[in-house]
Amino acid sequence: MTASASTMQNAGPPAKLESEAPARSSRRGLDRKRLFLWSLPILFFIGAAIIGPYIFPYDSLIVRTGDRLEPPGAVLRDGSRAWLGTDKVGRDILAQILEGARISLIVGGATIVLAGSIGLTFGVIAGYRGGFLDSLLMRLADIQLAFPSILLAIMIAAVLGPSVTNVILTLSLTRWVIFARVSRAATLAAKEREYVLAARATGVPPPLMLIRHIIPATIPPLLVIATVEVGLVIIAEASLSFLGLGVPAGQPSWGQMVAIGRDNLNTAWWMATMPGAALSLVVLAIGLFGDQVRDELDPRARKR
Amino acid sequence: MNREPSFVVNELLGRVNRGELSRRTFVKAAGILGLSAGMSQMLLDGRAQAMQDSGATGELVIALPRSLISLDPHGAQSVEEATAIVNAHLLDTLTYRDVETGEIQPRIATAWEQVDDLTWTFTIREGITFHDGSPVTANDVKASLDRVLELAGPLAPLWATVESTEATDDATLTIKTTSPTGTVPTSATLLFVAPAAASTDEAFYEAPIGAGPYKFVSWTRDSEMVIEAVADHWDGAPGISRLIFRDIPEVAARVTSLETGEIDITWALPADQLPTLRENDELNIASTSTYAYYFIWFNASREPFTDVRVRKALWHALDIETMAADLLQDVGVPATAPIPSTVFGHAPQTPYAYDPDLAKSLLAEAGYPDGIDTHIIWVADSGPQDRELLEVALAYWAAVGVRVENREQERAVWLENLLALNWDLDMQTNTVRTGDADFTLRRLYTSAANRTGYANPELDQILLDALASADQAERAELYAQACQIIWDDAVGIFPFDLTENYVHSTRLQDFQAAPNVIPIFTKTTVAE
Repeated sequence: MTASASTMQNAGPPAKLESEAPARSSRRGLDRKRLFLWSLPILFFIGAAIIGPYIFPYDSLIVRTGDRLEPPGAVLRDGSRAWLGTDKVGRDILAQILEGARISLIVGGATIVLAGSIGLTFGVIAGYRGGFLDSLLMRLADIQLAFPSILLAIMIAAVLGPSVTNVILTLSLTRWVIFARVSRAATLAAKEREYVLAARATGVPPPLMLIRHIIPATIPPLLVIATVEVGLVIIAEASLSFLGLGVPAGQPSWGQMVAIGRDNLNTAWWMATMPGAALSLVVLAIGLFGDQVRDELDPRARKR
Repeated sequence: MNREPSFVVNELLGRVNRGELSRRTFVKAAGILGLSAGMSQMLLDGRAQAMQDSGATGELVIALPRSLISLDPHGAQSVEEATAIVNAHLLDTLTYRDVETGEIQPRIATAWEQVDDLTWTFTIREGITFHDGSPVTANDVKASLDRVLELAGPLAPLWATVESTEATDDATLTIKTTSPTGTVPTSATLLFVAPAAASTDEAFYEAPIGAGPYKFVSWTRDSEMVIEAVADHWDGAPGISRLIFRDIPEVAARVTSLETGEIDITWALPADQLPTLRENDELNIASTSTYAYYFIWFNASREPFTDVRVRKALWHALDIETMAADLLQDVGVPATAPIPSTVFGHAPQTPYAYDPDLAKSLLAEAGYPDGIDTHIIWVADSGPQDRELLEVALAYWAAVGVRVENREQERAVWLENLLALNWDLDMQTNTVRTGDADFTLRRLYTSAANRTGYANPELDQILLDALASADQAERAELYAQACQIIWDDAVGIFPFDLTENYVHSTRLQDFQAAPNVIPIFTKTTVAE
């Protein structure tokens, strides 16, 4: 998507590309607009996750068996309207999706912070110290990468049992490697920069050196990776919940809703389709947003 | 007549029968070979006649609700429906229970007799053979029964009182028991007979040779199992020449296959699927009350379920009628005893009325005015609409202050916990496999079985007396007493009896809906 977007921009007449400030700034303006545009669905879902459950409260213990499997927009017996339909025991799908959005975003956010911190720590240490420690940590990462991450997640989740905390833990354990590799590469590059060499020459102690000079240089690439990973983590959570290894029963999650609704695809399509659509939209928006962030932060991509 | 043309004509006739060639094309082709139109017509008619005489025609594709895991009918998988269905056609049983009358009828055994209190003899049908041509003898039956006992699988408790088995001669099997056992002929409905020489070899069950009306053709695990009619079977040739059991685990995929005609029959579909299928002109639904039922057990060895008032309170908190009408619809009805109404020994009891206020006051009386915190264990896909039933039950309990944590577990984990009594509440379905109360009541509710922590010496005695008696009227009376004790003491909540809906293509004829969920297809035919 990004590749094609940037090629399209490059496809303009060369004279214009070479021409200076006005064209550059309008292009930057376009990028900014796009960045804003793709952040809208994300902001929308974050907002919905925060305030939605207050407007459409969800309680797994309030069931209305007389209003089960009502299609989207149906008026229920008590006069209220089920905008996205009801499930097999008469609970509102919209309320479940909003509640599920919380789970998805909490798991996505917390996993990225946890996996990012682990990855950053290991990556920076490995890159800065080098030698045996570097080899050890990176071989460990290679070994883990040899396993398909969802398979590893299923294994760990099966051992830990279903709970939101365990899902975050599980996914962090399968995702830290990417962050470690990126931050190690950024550290290796930063280590050779002149300002770092200068700092070292003036006798800055290693811990301070890492915090003041190395880590800030690793943040931009990590941010880009994080935006890509958030989408993947949300999908991984849905996959685990789909398999019954994610969030516990009674707590709605998009993956679980799709799993439960799939048997009724031909009689009550909304049960699986609605949470599936929400999932696709969020992951797509995050992915496109991530692309724009990368274009913003990567000077080469911008100048090219 | 010249050999060549007759061979060609035969080949063409074969094609007509397989539906690859129309009758008109056949007549044309035969004309080229020098046959008159009248002659070809006679050949065609004669062929059709011959096909009717041999009985077996056509193929039937069956999608079993659960995957076929094993063909071993004696060991751990012996009560799996898929295993039992395939083996009922392949190996055959010693006796069988007539679907309509409930009488025990001969299969491999032609007669049985209780010689004295502790001895049963079975007479083996004379002149019948396994598919490889070797004769079926009492020794084969003995070997199969011994194997059931040795493997100690889920069927072994039926034979718990067996002391020794002996093939007195080729046609007589003698079973000696330690105490009087009236249920032996009923238990024999689940005794699948395999040849003695090979039956102990695990590999034998990859491609078993039996004495049933169908013989083994092929089995591709997780995909397809094919069996073929035995034309000269003692019970007459089956109506369909080939049975194909196809493995389609996803419900939605099974329904689609049924609608497109890829499969001819399936069952155990969710109630929500049935209305659409009912409207389909190409499908029929054969429904029957089954030996299967739902129950929710209380662990009576744990507080607060040691108190009968708490157990009753949880039962009164549920609106069983509404749950059956709204959720189960065509797949179940409110139960009237701890065993389904179709089972021998069933005696109807007074239903527990839906009364949340009574439930609350019973809880308060028992010393829990603020309600209780507990949990329930269960396995997904253990019965129709199980998740919905559970979620609705949790809601009803919450309304009277009983907060129940939903502990959905993986099957193996659940089974381990269940047997170790490591649970507060347990929800599941169960099938009275033999259709006789003994299978369920004695197996599950004696103090010795200790499956729920409930112990009642009076009940123990009744169940043992019922086992010992060979007088069916006396047994029915004893089981009526047992039903009442279990129901009134609320050993568990017995909410629903299940109905099975076999959805099949209209080309199936003479299909008999089986209450034990082990449908037999030997008398079924398919229209061309």
